[in-house]
Amino acid sequence: MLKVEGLCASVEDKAILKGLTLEIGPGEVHAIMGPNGSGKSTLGHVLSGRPGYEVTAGSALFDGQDLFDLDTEERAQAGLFLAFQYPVEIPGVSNMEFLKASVDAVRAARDLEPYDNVGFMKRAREACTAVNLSHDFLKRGVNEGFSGGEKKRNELMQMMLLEPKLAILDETDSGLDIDALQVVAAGVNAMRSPDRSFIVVTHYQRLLDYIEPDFVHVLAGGKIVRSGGKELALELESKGYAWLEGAA
Amino acid sequence: MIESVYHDAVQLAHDRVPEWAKVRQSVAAKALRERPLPGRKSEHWKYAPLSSLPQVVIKEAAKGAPNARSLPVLDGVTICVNESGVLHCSDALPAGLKVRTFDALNGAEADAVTRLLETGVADRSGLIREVSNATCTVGIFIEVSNDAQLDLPLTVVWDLSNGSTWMSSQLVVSVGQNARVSIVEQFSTADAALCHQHGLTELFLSEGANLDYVRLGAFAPATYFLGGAFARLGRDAQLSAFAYTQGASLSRNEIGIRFDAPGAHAEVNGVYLPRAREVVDFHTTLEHAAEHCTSNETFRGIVGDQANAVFNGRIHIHEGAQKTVAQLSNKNLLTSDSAQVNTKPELEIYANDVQCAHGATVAQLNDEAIHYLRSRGVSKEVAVQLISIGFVETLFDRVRHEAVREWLCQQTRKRCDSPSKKGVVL
Repeated sequence: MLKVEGLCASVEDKAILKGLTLEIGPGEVHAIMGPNGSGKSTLGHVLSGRPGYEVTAGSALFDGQDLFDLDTEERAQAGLFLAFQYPVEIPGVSNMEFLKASVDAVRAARDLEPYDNVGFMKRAREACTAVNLSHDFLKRGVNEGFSGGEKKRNELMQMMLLEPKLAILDETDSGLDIDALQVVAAGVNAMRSPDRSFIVVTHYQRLLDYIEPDFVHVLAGGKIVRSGGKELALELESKGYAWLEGAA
Repeated sequence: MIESVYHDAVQLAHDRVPEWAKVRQSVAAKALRERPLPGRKSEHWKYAPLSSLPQVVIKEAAKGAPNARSLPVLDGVTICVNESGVLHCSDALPAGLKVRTFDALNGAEADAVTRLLETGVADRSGLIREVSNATCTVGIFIEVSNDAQLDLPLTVVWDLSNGSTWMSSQLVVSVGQNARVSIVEQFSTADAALCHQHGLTELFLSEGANLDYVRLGAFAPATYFLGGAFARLGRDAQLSAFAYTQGASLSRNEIGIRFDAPGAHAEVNGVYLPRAREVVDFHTTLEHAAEHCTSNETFRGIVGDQANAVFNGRIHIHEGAQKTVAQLSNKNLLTSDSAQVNTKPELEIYANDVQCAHGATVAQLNDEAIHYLRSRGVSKEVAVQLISIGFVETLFDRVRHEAVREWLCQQTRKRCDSPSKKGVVL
């Protein structure tokens, strides 16, 4: 599904990722944990093609395609989805309009017929209900005036409608209360399937109680310094990251 | 002198103007002779000076069919007028509505129109009205009877024929007491050759009258448009106005509203989306001369390529106009490094118990918002369009006519595709 090798990336000439290697198979859930400033969010941004994040070495193959050959929208059309840590507010553009444009674009790239308005509306409402957002949110400006938790649930709703092959959740749990966390986890778990993979970037082991990962990686100093099963997360929770920093 | 620009037009009007308007025409023509061409040093013309306004050279095409128009077509009666007069009126007029061309006015009507034109709200420098009075050759007077409730809009189209180069029009509207009417005024030129259009509109709202007014301009690139819409509001009158213009080399519109009696309310909105090297200039003036009146004004623009937009919004609250509530907002989005906006809200307040707010902003397209949309599969072009339409759509929503709203959205989509396609003339 995704094969990242020796990835080095910098922001404003400051090297953040320093040779990151990661392989994700179909249907797998990988958790990436690590201390602040280790490059967790940068990985998501680089994979999604955010301007200002420069790849200086290494490669990323997504379904055999060189990800870095694709524009941001082409990556999304190919099935990559990044749930933003800080979703952007876009006043004036209604959530519904935005979702329809996105889903139409992604479906068109996959040679699928666009949904008709009524059919799409129904799906959007269902997704809204699934993440416990009132249907009014479809009419509001994209993320405009949403609370932190509402923004995160809006990200999840987009993921449900776009049906990606690989979803990267960038600290989707931060700023969520327990109820919202469970809603998010339930949404992700419902989407799990043998041909859909997830990268769950998080600070806390708590989320992994609800979304059970197949693999846990520790990112420190721009590299994966340790990989293991879900028990690694528990180990991190009790010991912290300090004992691994030497390895970076 | 500005007279040199309009010399031939003044001559033409002198020959054509109906008897009752002759004095007004010659007084204005005389005043025009004294008036210099306003340049950068002239306060009201600073950012869109007329120093290089090309001379009006009059050519008139043989009478023909109206141009295929790019402007929206609405339900209700449409009156098409070109430089030589009324071409056609689409339907019979509903009861309560009287429409006359200036050359068909009887004595009493001519007196009424003369009186109204003498009391119109002044434009900023006086130039717009002076040029109009000195050069107008086609005019329409619309009278709405007291208590008339007209559901369908009346559309007046001032359409310069292909092959013609000059048109100067006046529209005078008198809305009777407690009458309700909707008027859509459209200006257009289609010929690529250099041409001028001048359009003055005078709106008079009697006590309790309700007017919904839309002013649209869609011009060919070598058009120079000057004009304005001015309104006087009687007691408890309600005016809702929307203005949009596109395509001309230079388009200067002045909007002036005077609150003459208590309880009147005006909603004034406008949008501009200049591209290429277009210059769009809106000067608005709200004269709060009576107490307990309210106004709400919002103009928004998206300026691309090497275009220049000028917005000057003035609120003048006279002594004694207590309990006025007036709001003015102007927001701009720049989509290219060489685009320019000059915006200036002005407040002048002589009453001490009023609520008045004004603000102006200039911003660029938000790269993070574009990236966010792209990360969901939307192309950059569509992302820019969505954000642009979103920026102005709230104002489109305030227009009552669906055909106009749809047309405005279409124009926004056409004009706001990719900012990377610099210099493309749309």
